[in-house]
Amino acid sequence: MNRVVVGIGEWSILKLNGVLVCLGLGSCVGIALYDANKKIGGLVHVLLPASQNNDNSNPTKFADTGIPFLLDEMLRLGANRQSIIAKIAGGSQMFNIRGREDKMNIGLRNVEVVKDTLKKLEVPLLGEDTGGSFGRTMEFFVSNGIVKVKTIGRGEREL
Amino acid sequence: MNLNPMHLDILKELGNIGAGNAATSLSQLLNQRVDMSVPEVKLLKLRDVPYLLGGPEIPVVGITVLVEGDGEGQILLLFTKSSSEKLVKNIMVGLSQGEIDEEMKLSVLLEVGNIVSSTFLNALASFTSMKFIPTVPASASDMAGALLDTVLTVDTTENDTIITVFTDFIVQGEMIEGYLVFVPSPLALNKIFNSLGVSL
Repeated sequence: MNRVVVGIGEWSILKLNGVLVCLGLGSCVGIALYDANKKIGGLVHVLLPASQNNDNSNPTKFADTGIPFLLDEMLRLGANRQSIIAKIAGGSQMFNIRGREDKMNIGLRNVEVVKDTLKKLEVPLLGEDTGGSFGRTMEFFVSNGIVKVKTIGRGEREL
Repeated sequence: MNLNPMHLDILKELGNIGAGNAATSLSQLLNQRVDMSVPEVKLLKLRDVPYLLGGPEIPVVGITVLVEGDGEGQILLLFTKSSSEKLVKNIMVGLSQGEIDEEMKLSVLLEVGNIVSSTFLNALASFTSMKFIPTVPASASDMAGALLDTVLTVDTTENDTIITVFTDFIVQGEMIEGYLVFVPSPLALNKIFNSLGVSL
């Protein structure tokens, strides 16, 4: 089966079958968009909540620009805007340094901006496994839209 | 970021001095000879960083400090799970395995992170005449990729590449795979070059 690893700041789209994967998500968030009728699935692996300037040289590094970018690419490949749903994983806080919570909780802010962006785009969020203080690997099966989340020592979850 | 070979040479020298001092401090702590490989300074694509240590899903122990002062950045010290056990055993000589609990292990590793990152920064400070202040260290044990995410967020610009200085340590007798990753913010990097009379 076609297995595509989506690295930090990257995106990928598959049709009909195959697996899209984000390995070892910490504060990063993986956003899976899916059109179940056409079986078109896209995954973007964002590092930061919001781009600070208008230089869109790397839109998929950020949640606020990465999600609309992926959505557009899926529409271009024939996905139906109305049937697209989202599932997300990641956004944890791996380290805790007292007095520097602002800097260390970037995962939390990532998740907030991801949710805001999905809401603005009117894409329903049907599943999430976010937050906490542990890493996750996310596997998105394009044939049926299932997202599997794997951890070290915390088992596996299906979204 | 437009770095030419001279910029990279300077960073390599900084890394060399910093990591050399860190290895010496580790050696004093362990009371054993500690060697290190020549530090590598790399401009890495974001997606390639988690592969430095054998892949994003490898279980590791990480100790991190934020760098503040004249230049911001972050240091992350990573040990493979088995190397972290060896390191603790080497420091806690005289105690049997049963006597060392998880909390003790953690505080030993935090102290290692503290000493190694402070000496690294001291060397950097005397080389550049800049002031670098480390925060208290924090530790975590999880997938390498998840821990490396944190240092990547230092550069909030649109850059798709990041500068890392990394090295590994070899403690006499036993191979301890430890990696020191230093990521300066783009602004800090600029200041570092300026302090040496080099423009970016």
